[in-house]
Amino acid sequence: MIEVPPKSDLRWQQFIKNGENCTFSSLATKMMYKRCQMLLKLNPDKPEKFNEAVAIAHEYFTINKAIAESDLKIALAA
Amino acid sequence: MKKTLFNLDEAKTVISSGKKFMVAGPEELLSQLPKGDWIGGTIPYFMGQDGGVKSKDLIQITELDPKIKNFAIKEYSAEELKNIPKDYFERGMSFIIIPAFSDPHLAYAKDAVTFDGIFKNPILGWVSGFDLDDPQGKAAVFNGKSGKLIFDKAVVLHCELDSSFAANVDIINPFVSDREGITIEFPESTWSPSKCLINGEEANFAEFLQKINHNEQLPIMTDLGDSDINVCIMKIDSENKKVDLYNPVIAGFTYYLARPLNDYAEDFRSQAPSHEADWSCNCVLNYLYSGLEGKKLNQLQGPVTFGEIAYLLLNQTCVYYDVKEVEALQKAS
Repeated sequence: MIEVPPKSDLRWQQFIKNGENCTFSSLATKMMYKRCQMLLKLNPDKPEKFNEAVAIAHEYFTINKAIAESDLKIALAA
Repeated sequence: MKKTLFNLDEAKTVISSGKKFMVAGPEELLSQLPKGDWIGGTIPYFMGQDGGVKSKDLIQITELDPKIKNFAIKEYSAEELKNIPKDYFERGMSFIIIPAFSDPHLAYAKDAVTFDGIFKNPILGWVSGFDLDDPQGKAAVFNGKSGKLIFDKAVVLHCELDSSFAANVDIINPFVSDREGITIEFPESTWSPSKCLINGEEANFAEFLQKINHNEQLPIMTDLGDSDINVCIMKIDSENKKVDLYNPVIAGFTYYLARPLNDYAEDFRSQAPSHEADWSCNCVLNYLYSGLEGKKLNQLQGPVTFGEIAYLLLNQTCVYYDVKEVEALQKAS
C-alpha cells in the first residue's frame, strides 16, 4: 500500500494547484478537492488558506488511504 | 428484491425486532411507530419493491447493515451542524435526515462544504418532505430513540464499522454540464439569486434564463472534476427578477447549464447500478420528470426526497451506498 507523505511534501502543493484535471474514482475525493478549490477562490488574499487546503487533503487521504489509494496515487502525480 | 414498504402493523413488528433502521413515511404513521434504533423522515413518495409509489398508508423501512457494531443518534440545530464531524466514529459512516425548508436545511446546503472533517467519514442521507399536492405540507424528522417529532433540527445516526469494512457512497446524475458554454457565477450563496456574472459580465439571473428560454427541468451545474452536481430550478420569478432554487448556489463556484437529455428516464436508468444497494434515495424531481410512478429503477429502493445528501446537499440525483470489505473496495478502485 502506498504511504501518505507528510504535509510538507511538495507533491501536496502540486496537487492543490493542479488537481483540477485529475479524474478521481471516489465521490468523496472529488468533493474534498472542490472544498480546497473553494477555500482558495474565496480567499485570494490569504496565502495561509493554501496550507489549510493542503491540510484538508492530507487529513482526508490519511484517514481514507485504504479506500482511496488509487485517488491518492493520482493526487500525488498531479 | 427485499421488501421495504410495509403497512403500519407490519412496520411496528419490523421496528420491534431491535435492529437499526432508516425509516420514511407520512407523519401520521411514523408517529405511531414504537421507539427504537431508528431515524425517520416524512415523505409519501417511495421507490419500493414494486417500483415508484405515492402512498399515505405505507412506511418504508431499510435495515442498516448488520456489520454496524456501534451507533449513536443525535440531533443538530442549524448552528450545531458544524459539530457533526466531531461526532463521527473513528471508522464508520453517518446517516442524516433534514426537514425541507428548515433552518438546518439552509445551513447544511450553504455551509457543509466548510465543516471541518466533513469528508473524514461518509455521510449520506436525505431531506424529508411532504405531499406536493398539500399546500399546508410541512416536513419533519423523527428521532426513533426518543420518539420525538422534530421540525427544526437534523437527526443523525452515527454508525461505527469494524476496521475491515468501509462504506462506499456514490450518486447517479444523468445530467452533463455544457462546460464549453456559458459560465455563471454568483456574488453570494443564496436560494434565490438575482445578481450573477454571465461569462464574467454582470446580469440578472432570471432575465438571463428567460432570454435563453431555459427548460426549468434542467438544472444548472457545478463541476466536481469529471462529474457534476446539480442546482435545480423551482421557479423563475420574473416579477421580482429572481430565481427560486431547490438548493442554493454557492459563491466561489462556477456553474454551467446542463445539456438537454435525450430520454430522461432511460438516461437515468442506464447509470443506475444493477445490484441492490444497501440503501438509496432519489429526488422527487426525478420521480416526477422521468415518470417513476409504477416503474422500477433497476433494484434501487428508498425514499423519494426533497434533497439528497452525499457529504454535501445534492439535488435531482440518486444517492446510494454499500458497505463492503476494505479489500474489495481497494480492488475496485
